[in-house]
Amino acid sequence: MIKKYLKASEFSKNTFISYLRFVVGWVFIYASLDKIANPSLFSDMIDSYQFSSVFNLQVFNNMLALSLPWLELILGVSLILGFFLDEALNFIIYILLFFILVLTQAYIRDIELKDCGCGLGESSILNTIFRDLILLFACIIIKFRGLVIFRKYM
Amino acid sequence: METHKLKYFRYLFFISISVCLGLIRYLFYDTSNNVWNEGEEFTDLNGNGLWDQGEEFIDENNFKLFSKFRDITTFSTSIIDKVNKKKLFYNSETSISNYVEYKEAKFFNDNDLAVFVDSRDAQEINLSKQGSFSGRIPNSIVIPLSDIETIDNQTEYFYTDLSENNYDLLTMDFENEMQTISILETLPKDIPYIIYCGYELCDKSSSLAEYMVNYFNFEKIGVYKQGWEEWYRNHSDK
Repeated sequence: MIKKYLKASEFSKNTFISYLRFVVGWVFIYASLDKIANPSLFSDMIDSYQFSSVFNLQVFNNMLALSLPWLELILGVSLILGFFLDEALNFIIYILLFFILVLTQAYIRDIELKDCGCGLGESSILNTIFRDLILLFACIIIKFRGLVIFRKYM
Repeated sequence: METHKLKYFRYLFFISISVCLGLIRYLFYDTSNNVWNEGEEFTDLNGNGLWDQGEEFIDENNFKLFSKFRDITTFSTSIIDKVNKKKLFYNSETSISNYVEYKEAKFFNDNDLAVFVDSRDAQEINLSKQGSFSGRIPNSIVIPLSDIETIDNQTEYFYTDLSENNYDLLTMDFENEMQTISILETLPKDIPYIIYCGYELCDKSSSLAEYMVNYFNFEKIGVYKQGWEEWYRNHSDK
């Protein structure tokens, strides 16, 4: 009886995690498509964050605008299909932390952004930070194959 | 040890593949979509080609692999803060105290943040041509103050509502002058303009600013008082 219950919970956990993987991967793929289509717009958006200009690294804006969307696409595909899963997950977590850092500095400095360049058409910076935090939380759940706190009971 | 190496190899794999794909994307990227479109509207508006659409202008907007260094973008945040806080641009409620310095003017010109307006005549501009310099700030439009002043002094255009017949008569008599006024009326009112003239002591720029604000309802007008003299001095040194 207990074994049966354990098996059932295991199954539901796995489906939940695969569902999360699909959602996060799809978000990354969908957000990357728009940026791949017009990299010049995306480089303008990167410029508007005024993050690279602080370190005098605007030279690499266009390079970043060209390669970052492809990285997002590959990471999303690998997350869904499951190859190099751990590395892709770590990479996604680092990228999300970077995004949150850039967005928060833009929010603190009161920079007006026409478009955040997130690919999903968010209305404000706070919304995007919130979305990124949710994605980060989902990634951490996937990374540890379930909620660490509730592992005892699962 | 081997597993660690594999891990780093996989991270490198992600980065290298994305960079390669980005480079391939760059090879197939069509830069012709990327020309600033607003220039065309202004060239259609007058046959004289008041917009300076030289090769330099289009080059700046091209998408290159490594974007160039800009010296002034490091000041960008401070200047934009200045614009927001000190209200650099003219409000119809306040008096004209919106003078732009060279640094700010260059920043606005480099980043296409404002339209530059030359308030001198064609003759005066021709006189200030020197060597490879065209005599005015790049991408500026010419709106001679003298045209507006003749309309103000000799007609009642600013003071009465003209009927269509009178308007036609005016355009017959003052052809060139009315053309500049029609340009002023069709320019968008809500974008920033920076007006300048020949040298620091000339007051053409500020009086044109008064006309533009009081009679044509422009919202954001700045005056670059030092004008062409200082601009030329700073650019000829290099």
